[in-house]
Amino acid sequence: MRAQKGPMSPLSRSLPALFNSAALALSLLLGGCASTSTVSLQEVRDFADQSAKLGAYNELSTRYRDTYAREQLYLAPAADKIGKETDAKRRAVYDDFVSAQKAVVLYMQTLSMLAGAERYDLGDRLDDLGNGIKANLDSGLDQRHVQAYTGMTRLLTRAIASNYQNRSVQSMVRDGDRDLQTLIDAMLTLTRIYMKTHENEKKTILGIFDVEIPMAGKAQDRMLVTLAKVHQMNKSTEYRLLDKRYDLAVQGLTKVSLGHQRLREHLNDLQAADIKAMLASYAGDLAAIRLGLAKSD
Amino acid sequence: MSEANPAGGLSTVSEVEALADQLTASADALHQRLVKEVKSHTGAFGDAEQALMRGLNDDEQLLRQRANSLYADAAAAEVPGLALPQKHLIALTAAAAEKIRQIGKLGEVIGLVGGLLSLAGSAMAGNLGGVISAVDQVRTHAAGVAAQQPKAPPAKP
Repeated sequence: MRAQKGPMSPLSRSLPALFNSAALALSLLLGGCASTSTVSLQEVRDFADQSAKLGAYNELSTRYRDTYAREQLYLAPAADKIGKETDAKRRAVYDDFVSAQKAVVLYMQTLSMLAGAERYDLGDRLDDLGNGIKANLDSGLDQRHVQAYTGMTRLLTRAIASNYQNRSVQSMVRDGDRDLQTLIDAMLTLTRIYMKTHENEKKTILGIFDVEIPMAGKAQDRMLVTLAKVHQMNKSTEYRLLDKRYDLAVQGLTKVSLGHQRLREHLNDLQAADIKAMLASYAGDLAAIRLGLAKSD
Repeated sequence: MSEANPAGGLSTVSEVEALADQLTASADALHQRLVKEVKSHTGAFGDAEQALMRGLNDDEQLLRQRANSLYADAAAAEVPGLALPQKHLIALTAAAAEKIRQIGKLGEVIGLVGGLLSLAGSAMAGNLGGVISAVDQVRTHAAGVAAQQPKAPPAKP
């Protein structure tokens, strides 16, 4: 169905969708009248929507890229020299690291579209993926990951351009699972490395105060010591909140991976109540993780 | 992400990551020692004492920067070849971290940390000769320290 032109409120935009899925659910209830080419799978859709919204990886990739900018003020000259070199290494691969996320998000949006009843245009998002991953660059995404990315892009182009074989969720999941798992696997590896880098950054910055504050015992240092203590306290609160985000990012990616794997395993009985409940619980977990991320922001 | 590097040696991402983990652990051990030292100190710090503590804090920063640089290599899967049995290297750096915790006099930590730093530097540059001599240096220091055991906990009033 095509929505009318002109500005619409979010409510009026979602109403036809709501009506449509209600109608489909009703026709499924009445039995047999829904053709196999148009299925509305609300749980698949919710799961895909929640997966697409998980933004923690992107944010932590950017944080990783900018590590040196935050550390710089605290580094002694010798450490600063290495820090600057590492900074260049991190910047060189940043675009490739976030490309993985873009592909996964577009895949999930497309899956949501196929599982839903209405249609919307994702075509412009394809351009975003157009440049692809630079296969020959010093990138953490090795040949296997580049292939997964390329395969994913091809699948998405086909799915979006042709309304994918009469909107079949089954074919999409079957064709996409391997590449998706490979990309999430790469994102998990990178998130682990982001976390370890963050850990060293935190200890570098907080560590100076551990050593310097007890050594500053002279009366004229009092004001300086007070300011240092305030700064240390603020920084440790800041880092404690960040620690949580890395954990939540890993949890989220793991849920997306597991949820999709289960979806792949149960492609033939997606209408079964227990499968729907299982998918709904993955979607619920992802929503809870997103809430946790919003809270620690 | 863990395919073998044709250059051999310190070749897989997980191996590079493991070495970086050990350097981080050494930095952690060094930090704990430093904090213990400054907190248990009585009276004002002399200039020489302050310089010693700051020097070691600088070394701690260096170890962390080396570790983060190796993490960046692991992330970028671009690692210089290094023909040394990885397990051996990991065991050695793990032992060094343990020694940092145990050494009685703080001054003795300096040599050991210096050895670790040149090890990390050579590993990053893919300099095999540098790694081998750094390994010897760390081993000698660690052995020398062991001979003076048992000494911990430090004899502080």
